[in-house]
Amino acid sequence: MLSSNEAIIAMIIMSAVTFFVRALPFLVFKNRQPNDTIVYIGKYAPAVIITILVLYCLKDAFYPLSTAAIPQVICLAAVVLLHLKFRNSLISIFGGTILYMFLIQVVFI
Amino acid sequence: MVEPNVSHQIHLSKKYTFKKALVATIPVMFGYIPTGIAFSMLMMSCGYGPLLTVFMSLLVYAGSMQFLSVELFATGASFIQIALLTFLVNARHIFYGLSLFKMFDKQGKRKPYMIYTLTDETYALFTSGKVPEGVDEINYYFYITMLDHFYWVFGTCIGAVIGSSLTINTAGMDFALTAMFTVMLLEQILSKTPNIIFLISAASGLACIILFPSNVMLLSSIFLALILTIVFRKAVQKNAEQ
Repeated sequence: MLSSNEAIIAMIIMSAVTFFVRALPFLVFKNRQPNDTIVYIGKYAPAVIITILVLYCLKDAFYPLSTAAIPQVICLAAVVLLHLKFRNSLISIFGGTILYMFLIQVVFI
Repeated sequence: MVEPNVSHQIHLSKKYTFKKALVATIPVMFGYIPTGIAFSMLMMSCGYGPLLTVFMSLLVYAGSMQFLSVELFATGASFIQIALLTFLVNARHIFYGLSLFKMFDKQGKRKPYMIYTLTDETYALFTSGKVPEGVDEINYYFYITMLDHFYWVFGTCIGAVIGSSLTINTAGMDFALTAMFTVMLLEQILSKTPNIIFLISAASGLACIILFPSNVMLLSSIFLALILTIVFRKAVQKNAEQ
């Protein structure tokens, strides 16, 4: 186990590395215009990343497939239906989350 | 006579902007606070003190990497190992800035802080959904950043102080993040984004879930999907014109 002092050094290293990767695009394009391909990627990156984040959140229950997938499927359907009906993010997100908490705490124990 | 009026208006608009940012970040609050509590309890169960635990959330502020690092700390990993794994887990953030050049340039002195704290959830809030009407856009993004950072540190504080005696069952509360990303994806699908982008991303994500270990799934699939987005550029642009 790392001592507290070693842990502090490790944390400083971790934050420096994380800051570096987050800052990299800003450093690279500090003094020059991003080229056509970078602008194109920047335009579609949000859609790409959001799609993959959704899959990332779901992967533990679905691969390998487990019973944890059942409440997730139900609640995802609820989120989508609520959102198509009301088009209000807070209603969709909280409706789905409250249903999920209920399902895993009360129904699928 | 004009001056006090103007300052009053600015004051009002700041308050209103903060309120709107608060509303936008509520799902993140529901995700970050219970996750912060869980992180605190894990870190302290390994023998680290509450102060160090909170300090880590304030300084490192990278959810999945913090959970992973508790394991590394406990097994006495080397600094080089820790640096490499941090890079691998967080390298996806290299792509996040690409969509934010213009907005971040307007942030002035706040820009370094906003780069430092650019998490998945904050990035998702920046790039999805419209800025509400009547808010000051620059402050709005800054408040979102600060609030998200605050929730994470606050959750860690709660865990550090009362974690073990907590009686509210927060199990499942972090589904708020899954739900938030799902709503953002739905909004993206309903917008004019070409469908081929979602196809490419989903295929890359599924392939990488099967092919790669969990802690590099995000990096590998985002990288693969962006490569494919470039490869299929013509199809994407044709799809976008329709």
